[in-house]
This record gives sequence, C-alpha cells and structure tokens, in this order.
Amino acid sequence: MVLFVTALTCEADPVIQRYRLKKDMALSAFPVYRGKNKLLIISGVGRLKAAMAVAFILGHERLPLSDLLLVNLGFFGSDDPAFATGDLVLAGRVSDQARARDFYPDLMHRQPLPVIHLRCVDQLKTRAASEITPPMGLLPVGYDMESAGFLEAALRFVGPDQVLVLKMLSDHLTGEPCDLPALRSRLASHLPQLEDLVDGMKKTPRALTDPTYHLDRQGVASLAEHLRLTTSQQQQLFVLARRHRLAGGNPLPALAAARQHAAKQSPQQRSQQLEHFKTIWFNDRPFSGHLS
Amino acid sequence: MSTLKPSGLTTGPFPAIYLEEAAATHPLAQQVLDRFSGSRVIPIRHYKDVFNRSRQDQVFQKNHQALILAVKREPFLYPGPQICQSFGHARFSLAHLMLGCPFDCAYCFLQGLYPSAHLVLFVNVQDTLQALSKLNEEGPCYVALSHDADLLALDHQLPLLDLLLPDLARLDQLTFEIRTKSAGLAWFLTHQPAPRWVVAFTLAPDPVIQAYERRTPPLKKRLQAVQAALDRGFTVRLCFDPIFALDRYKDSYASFFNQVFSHVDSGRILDVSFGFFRLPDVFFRRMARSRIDSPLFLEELPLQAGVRSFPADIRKVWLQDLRAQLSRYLPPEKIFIDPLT
Repeated sequence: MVLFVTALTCEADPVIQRYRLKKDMALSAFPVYRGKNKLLIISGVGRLKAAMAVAFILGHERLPLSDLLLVNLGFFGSDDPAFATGDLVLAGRVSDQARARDFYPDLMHRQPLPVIHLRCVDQLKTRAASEITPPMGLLPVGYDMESAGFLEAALRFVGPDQVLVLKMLSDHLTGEPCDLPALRSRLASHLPQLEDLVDGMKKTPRALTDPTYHLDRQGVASLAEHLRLTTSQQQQLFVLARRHRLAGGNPLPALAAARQHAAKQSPQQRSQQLEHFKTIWFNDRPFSGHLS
Repeated sequence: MSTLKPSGLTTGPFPAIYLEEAAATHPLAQQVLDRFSGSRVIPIRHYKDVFNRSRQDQVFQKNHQALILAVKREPFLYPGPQICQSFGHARFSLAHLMLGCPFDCAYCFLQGLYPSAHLVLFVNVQDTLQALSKLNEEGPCYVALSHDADLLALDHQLPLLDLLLPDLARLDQLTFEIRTKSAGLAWFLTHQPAPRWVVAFTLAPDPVIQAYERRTPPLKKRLQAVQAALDRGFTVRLCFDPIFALDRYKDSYASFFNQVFSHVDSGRILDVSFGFFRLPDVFFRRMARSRIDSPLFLEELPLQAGVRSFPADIRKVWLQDLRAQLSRYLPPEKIFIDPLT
C-alpha cells in the first residue's frame, strides 16, 4: 500500500487522475481518496496539518504497517540556480527549522533523482529571507512547509526505509505567483519516475520477508477475539503461528478448530490454550529440532 | 599517518555518505570524501541522529548500505566480552574503529547490538591510537581491532588498516587480532606481516555459509586467502565460530575439518577457536523480531546466564565430537573453546 500525503489539491490531482482514485465521502476531517493499493490524503498547508493528516489516516485505516510506503509529494522552493522550475528531487535530510530537529529518510542505491536538504518552515520563503549558503556546502537546500510534520508523524508508525519526501520545484523564492496549471501538468509527467522509485523501495519491504499469510493473521485475530486473549497473548499466539509456518506447517486448521470448540475462558485457561498450541505444533519440546 | 588513495570511482558504492559536523574537518573524512567524490554527501549533526533512529530495517539497509563518517567519543577501548575467547591472554580489549559489516550473516550479533546496518567510520583514529598507547604502557593485552566491523572485507573501499599499521607496530605489549570472513588476497600480497599481529579467518562448512552467511565468500575462496596469508608469513588463527549444533550439519562438519586441514598445514596455524552459536538474550529477542524469515530464530533456545545457545546436553555431545576431530590435526593447547561451553 502506498499512502500519498499532499498539502494542496493541485499537488494531489495528478495522482488522483493517474490512479483513478475515488473520494471517500464518508470522511470529512481531511479529503481522502482511495484506489487499488493507493491512498491519498490532502492535509492542507503547514507542518502541523501534515502531521495531523498522517496520524489521522493511519489511526483511522489501521493499515498493516509492514508493507506501507508513505510518500510526501508536493512543491518546494529554492534559490539554488542548479534547479529549474519543474525539477523533481528527493529529500535526504529534512530539518524542522522551528524545532531544530532533523529527519533522515533512508536512501537507495541507483535512484536518479537529485537529493536535497529540505528545510521545513512555517511561512513562505522569499529570496530576501532565505539562507543562501547550505551547511558545509554539501547539499542543495530547498524550502517547504510540510515535510517535517509528515516525517514527525510517519516515523512514529514506520521505519525510515518506508518514507519518501518527493518535491518538485515550484519557484525560486522570488515571491511571484506560480503557474499552477503548468506545475500540475509537470508533476503528472514525473509520476512514471515516481513509480520506479516506489517499486524500488518495495523490493525489500518487511512484508516480503514475513512467512505468514493474511489468513494466518486473521485466524489469530479471530481466535484471540473469541477467547478474549490479552494483546500480549495474541502476540505470543501470532509468534507461535509464524514459527509453525517457518517450520513448514500450516497453523490455520488448529486455529479454526480452537475457534470452533473453545468456549470463552478464564485467564488460566487462556494461558493453557497457548500451551496447547505449543504442544500440537512443536510437541512441547523446548528445543524442538525444527531446524534439523 | 598515511593517506587514502582515490578509488577512481565516478559514483560511490554507498547510496549516501553521512558526514557528522564534528568529523568534517578531520583529514580522514576529507580523504574518504575525495575517494568517493561521486557519492551524495549529507551533513548531519551527530552520527547517532542517523545510526540510532527508531524502527530501522536492517534487511533493507544491508541492500542499501550507507556510510557514516563520525567522531568517536570516549571510551575508545572496551573490555572484551565474556562470551568471546581471549586466547589465554589475561587482558582483552577491543577498539571501535568502525561499526558494521558488508556481509549479511543471519546470526551476527551486530544486528542485536546496534539498531542500524549502516557503516560507521570513526575518523579520529589518532584518539584510538593514543588510547592504545596508554594501554600498551599498562602491560600485555590482546586487542580485537575488528570486533564490530570486518576491516579486511572493507579494505578495498576503506583501507583503514594502512593508516594504523605503522603506529601500531610500535606498541610492543599489545597483540592485535583482525578477524575476517573476507577471501581477498590483495591485502596479504601487498602488506608485510608484523609481529604480534594475528589474522583470524572465520570458516564454516559451505551448507552453513549458504544458509546463514549471505554475501560471504565460499569456503574454498576463504581457504585460498588463508593459504596466501600463511605463504606471506602472517600469523593465522582459524575460527570455527559459530558452530550450529544441528543434526543436519553433523556430516558437514565432519567433512569440513578434513577439507580445511587438507588445504592448510595445521602446523603453521597459531591456534583455532570454536564456539557454538550463542547470543545474549536481549540480542536474540531483538534479532528474532527483525529476522522474521530466519529459521535460526525458530527455536526457543535455552537461556543460560543471560545467553541463549543450544541445550547443554547437545553442546556436550557435539563438543566431544568436534574436539576429537580437531585433535587429529592440532594439539589440545592450540584449541580454544568458547567460554560458555
């Protein structure tokens, strides 16, 4: 699942059109658009709104975090003459200017985009107010208003390999009005490149290394609800199911049987239920020899 | 101190080089940046801002391994861990010159010890050299230089040892060990052996290498490197560590020792060490969470003195068997066994 977070409708439009996303009319806190394996939320302008949007959508959707990629897509400004309007860049460092905090999304090999140091500010930057010299002169500097809020919230849920901050140059900090239709069209032309990047990021997601299946997770959750297992007990049961899968077994029949036959239980009986799975899956041996 | 030679690369081998503010003015940092001038360099305030981030995925990072240039703060030397051998030395220390490894061994304790799989190069090697000089004044000590990094495997990219060798040669009370899984021959062909320097090769049967030691060279290549080191006069130690006491590898280990000592003259080996797979419990639990695809963490390995390893009865049987096999090639005083066993 890829979750796009944009500040403005004109930043979201190319994504909505390309993936034919449909607006979720049931949600009113933020505009949310849905499609196959794609989700988009329009946060509004500013660091705080970006953080709120990320927290809202992740809390509301309860998405499996292991195969989630969060993309902050939008415009940025820079007075670096190396960039032309419409250039797409990737943030390698994001600084929250107000709070002197830095964020570092992980970078991949072989990604062709220029990497910049993005400074997240609370007010629109203009050339007169900009700091022209980047720190140590190592990375080009750009300015936006959402990236730090996006990362602050996103990195509470996922790892630094699951976030991308992609920005397209909208202006050179001159304060002149932007040509939004032209920018929208230019952003649309970058989406194939963005897809390559997203595909690259998805080649090594945690979800691919997980030996369990969606049905295993469902089976565990269903039984846990039926038996009123504690969260900790549910986690223990899931780990047992994963171990059983890794050892070449199928946990689903035993989970289904337990769901069918077990009545609601006392706390002691719940613990016994976990022991029951250890017995039937691993013969109750502390060193089961499944590796041999 | 010597200088690094340019790599000649137009694009760097790292997706990014993170440069700590305090490291920027160090000559070694500049040499690395010159060497990898095609790399993206991202300035950072403190190396832990990148290295210690929450929820890092070490599997992803092993495929996209970045380099962090940082300044090591005190302490520069650490006491040797109790679950590692000290090879008869009364004092055992280790130095942090680098953190991280280019290989991807499923069992590697670094995954439990550190939250990141990125490489950290500490550019203030002079401070570590000073600490080693002080240690030298206190008397004999065994010093592991590559405990948290495979310096020889990284040598073609970051020839750190070249910078250290001339200074370390003067420290006559210290015995240095560089441990490696590398099969590179170049370093041995281009360097002179030094007294009190031990090159320790970690070896394993090929089925174990294939199962657990991703990206490492096969046994045959490692044995060629052992032979090259011996031929050049280096003092060589062989480490059979970790041993996987699993029935399916029993035959592999039997033929493995035969293969090793048919290639290598056991009389020219300083000593060997072997130890069973073992991890501090806290590392084991961390790694089981991140290595969810590894059968290694399937088992509820028993806990003994805070360390998880194979059950004592299994270790005992294997120990007798392995010791008997090794005794065919080496006298008992040349065989060191992990302290847990």
